[in-house]
Amino acid sequence: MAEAVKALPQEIKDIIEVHEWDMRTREGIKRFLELKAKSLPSIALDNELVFEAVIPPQEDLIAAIKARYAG
Amino acid sequence: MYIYKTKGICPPEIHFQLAGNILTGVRFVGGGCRGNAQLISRLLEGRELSEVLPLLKGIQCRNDTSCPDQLYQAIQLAREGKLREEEPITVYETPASYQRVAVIADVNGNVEALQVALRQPVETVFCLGNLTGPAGDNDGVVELARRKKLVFVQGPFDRTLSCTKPENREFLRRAPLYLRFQLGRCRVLGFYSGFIQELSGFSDFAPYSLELLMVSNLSDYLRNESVFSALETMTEQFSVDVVLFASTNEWKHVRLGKVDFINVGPVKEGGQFKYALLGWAREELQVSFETVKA
Repeated sequence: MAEAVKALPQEIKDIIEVHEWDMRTREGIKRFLELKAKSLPSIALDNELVFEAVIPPQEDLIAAIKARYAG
Repeated sequence: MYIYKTKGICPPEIHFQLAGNILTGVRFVGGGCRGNAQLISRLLEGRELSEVLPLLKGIQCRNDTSCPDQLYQAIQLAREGKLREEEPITVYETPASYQRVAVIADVNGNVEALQVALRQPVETVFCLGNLTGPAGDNDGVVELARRKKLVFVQGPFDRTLSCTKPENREFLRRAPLYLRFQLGRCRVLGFYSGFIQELSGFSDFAPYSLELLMVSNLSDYLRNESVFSALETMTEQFSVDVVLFASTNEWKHVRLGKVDFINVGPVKEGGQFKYALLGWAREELQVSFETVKA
C-alpha cells in the first residue's frame, strides 16, 4: 500500500501529507479502529476511509485525492 | 532485557541483554533489513563490550546514524543507568509434543475445580492463568499445582494476589506469561490477555506480541466481528496455528484463515466444571468444550 502512495506523481505528493500506520503496533491498531476500518489494506483521506481491502489503481487514487484537495 | 526506541533508522526498537560486560540477545525489530540485522545479532552474541563498542560507534547509514550506531548509543545509556532494564516477557515452551490436552483458565483458587480438571483423560492439563483469585484457597491451589507439576501461565491475579507461603509466592512469580506447545502438527500459543501489553517489558515487536495484540486490541477478544477480515489478513504473519487465550469469561472457537482462535472461560461455571479439549486426530485439530457435573 505504501508503495502505491510512494509511486504517485510529484505534483500529487506535493498536495498531500502521508502517514502510514503499522498494524502490528498498538498505535496502528488504535488508528485502524478510530477510522472504523474493517479490512486491510485501507487508505483514508482526511479521516475518511476511501479504499478498503484493495490497493487502488493509481488513477483512482489520484482522482480521489484531486477530488478533495486539488484546485 | 533492554528495549531501546531508536532514532533515525528503520527498526523502531533494538532489544538486547547485558550480562556484566557481555552482550547477548541483540534484536533489531519492527523494520529494516532483517538479513543484515540477524547477521549483526549473531556476530555480536556473547561478545565483550570492550570488543564490540569500537566496531559499532559512528557508523553512518541515514540521518547521521545507523543500526550499529544506535545500538552503541543504547548500550552506553544502559551502562550509564539511563536506560532501564525491563522485566522479560517470559515464554515456556514444552519439551514434549501432545495429541490430546485439556486447557483450563480462571481457577480462582478453587482446589476442587483444579482436582476435577486434573482427573480428565488427557495427556496433560494446561492452565491459562488466574490459578489464584480474590476469594480462593490460593495456597491450597498452588500447592496442588506444584505437586502435579501443572504447567500454567500467569494471569493478573497470579501477579497481584499473594499466597501466604513464600514458596507458593515464588512458584507464581516464576510462571511464564506465554505458553508454547506442539499438538500434532499444530503450533499452539496460550496466554491470559489484557495485562501483558501493559507490562513495561512488553514490546509490540517481541515474539507473540502480534498474536496477543490481534486478539485483545484489534478484535476485542473476538467480540468485534467487524474486524475479522483484517484479523484474517494479519494471521498470515502469525508464528503459530492455534491461539488459546483467557480473559473474558467466555468460551468461543473461531477459525480465521489458517489460525484457530480459542477463548477459554472459567473452569467453574455455575454448578459445573468446564474445560477446552484439544486433540490431534486424522491429521486435524479437534476442539470441543467439555462439561463435568459437580
